[in-house]
Amino acid sequence: MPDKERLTRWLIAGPPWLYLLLLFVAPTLIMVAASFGWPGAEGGLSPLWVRDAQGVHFDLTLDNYTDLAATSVYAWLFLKSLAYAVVVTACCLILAYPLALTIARSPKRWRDALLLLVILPFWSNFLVRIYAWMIILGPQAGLSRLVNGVLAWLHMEPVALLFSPFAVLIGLVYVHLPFMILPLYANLEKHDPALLDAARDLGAAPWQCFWQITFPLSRPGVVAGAILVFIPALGAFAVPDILGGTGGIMIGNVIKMQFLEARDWPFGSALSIVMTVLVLVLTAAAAWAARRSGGRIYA
Amino acid sequence: MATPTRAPLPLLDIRNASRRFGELSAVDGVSLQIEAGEFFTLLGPSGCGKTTLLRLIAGFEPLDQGQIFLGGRDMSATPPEARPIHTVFQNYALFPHMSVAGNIGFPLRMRGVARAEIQTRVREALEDVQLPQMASRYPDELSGGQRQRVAIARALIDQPQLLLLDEPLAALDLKLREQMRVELIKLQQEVGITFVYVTHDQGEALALSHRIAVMNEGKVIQVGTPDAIYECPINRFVADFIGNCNLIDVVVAAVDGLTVQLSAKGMGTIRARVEQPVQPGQAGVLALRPERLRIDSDQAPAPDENRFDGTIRHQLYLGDVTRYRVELHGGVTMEVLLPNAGAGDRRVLAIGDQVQIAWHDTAGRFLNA
Repeated sequence: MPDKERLTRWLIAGPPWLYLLLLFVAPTLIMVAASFGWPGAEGGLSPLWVRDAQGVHFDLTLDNYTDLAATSVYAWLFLKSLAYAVVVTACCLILAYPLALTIARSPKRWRDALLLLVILPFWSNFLVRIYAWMIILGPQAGLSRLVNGVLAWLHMEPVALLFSPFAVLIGLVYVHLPFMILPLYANLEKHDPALLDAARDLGAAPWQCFWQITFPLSRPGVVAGAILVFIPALGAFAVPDILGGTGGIMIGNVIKMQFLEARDWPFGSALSIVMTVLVLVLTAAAAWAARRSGGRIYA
Repeated sequence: MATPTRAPLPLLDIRNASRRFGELSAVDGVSLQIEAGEFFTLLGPSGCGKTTLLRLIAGFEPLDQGQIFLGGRDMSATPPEARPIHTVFQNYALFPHMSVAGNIGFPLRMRGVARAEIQTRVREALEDVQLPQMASRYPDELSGGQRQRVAIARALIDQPQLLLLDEPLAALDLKLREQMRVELIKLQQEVGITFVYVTHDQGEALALSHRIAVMNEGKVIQVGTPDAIYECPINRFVADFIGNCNLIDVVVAAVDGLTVQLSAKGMGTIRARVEQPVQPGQAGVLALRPERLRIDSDQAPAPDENRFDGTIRHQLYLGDVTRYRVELHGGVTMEVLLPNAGAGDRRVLAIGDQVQIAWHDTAGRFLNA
């Protein structure tokens, strides 16, 4: 029954295709189109085409992109956001790896409980958790007093922890840490312990076992975690909004401002598109580099 | 198989080694001396502690008690990476992210051998195991037999004093397994390295080893050459575990030097020879190998022979041999193994036939209960 089979296949594959088109492809295309449009008189987007007696006229422009390229502040903001995202990803990796390894190597009955602890923060609201950091990093809190006490003892100027790049970094690392831990754990948990026995047996000290066996085998987990952290960190706006103060803004804040405050949708769209392309290029480059350096990715 | 020449000191000297996991004594007071150049097998059912003993020798597990000496040196404080011992693991544990050459060269890399020398030695090792063109393949691109050869090449490349093999043939199919037995014996003779081999397959143990240690419940039950283990099992467990064996519960009825009369339930009196003096009234087990029994009909018993009437109940044709189960008139069932030497043998005997089974009084072995 090939007809019936084909129908069944469409029934199963159809809905995913439909929502991919509706929720991912269509919005992206709308954004691309909007980035070549003019802002409306009252903000928003002016119509992309006009229909009159002579037919349909497109009303498009490259101004958004040329404006973007003409002002160095945007390039600077992209670079700054990129730097934040790289540092956040690196910090998450360094913090998450030992934790994921510990969970993966703890007795089976403990693992689920420990994973639950990793996911637990998701049960409270994102904004509440960020505001909690506002209090923790605030000038009246113990942490600030401790740091400034030490600085005073060293005869140095006091610093503000809150509303600083440091606060943005802490907030971003805190928010994204579980996205690094989970893929790393999923990978590390599958490692065959016999490989470590074999490495020890063949003359590798414990630290060599890690760098020769565990770490190379965990590379797919590292790559997955890095992508899951890097991309949202690059586009973050809530954390820098709340914890960063005026100096802490990232490209995500500018995009948000274009849409909500300046109401210049076309320019906001152009910024978004540039960021999307940037992410795609960087991810592709990273994947290419990983494949070249390692010969192949073992999954 | 040639017995290796005796060295003044055993290469591996295990003294009263014990390892417990909670309540379970995985290895319980094991003492073994293994000579340099020996092919030594630890044989036992699963869970008998043979793999744990191997892990103690390799250094993966700490000893709870006892000591292990290698070449006269106490290994207790030596971590696995510093022991001149390598292991071939059950599923080979090849590093999946490294090529065949990367795997084989691993022990040399860990010891900081120069890159050029590693390349030369890996190439030689690959030729030794007949995989010269496989250097850049990855383990998941190899067949089971090829993986095993890579694992062996990797474990032998820096010439350890001792090679441990943990059921290395278990993952292969039957044909390849039999072929690899021959290759393992050849290999061991060529490299001259002491092998300690773990298996639950008694056929493999008999075929490969210079000596075998039969283990059960964490203890070594018997150590000996394959024929000693097979012909002279020291107790019921060894007789039952190695090969097939008819085990008959008996009581010593009369003693005449080393010739005894045994009485068995449902069989009456059995004549047997013993090697050590026994007392009348002593209970024990008579172990009779199926291939030592004969099936024939209606002959007068010779004086040094046992002979019982029975009926053939099952017949298992195995090609080279046929296995019969004969129910004696007293109700005891005995297994008899006959070679299919003549083309017509199989048709002569059939299920339901009335036969006599017979054996010489030296064929059985009296074991203390």
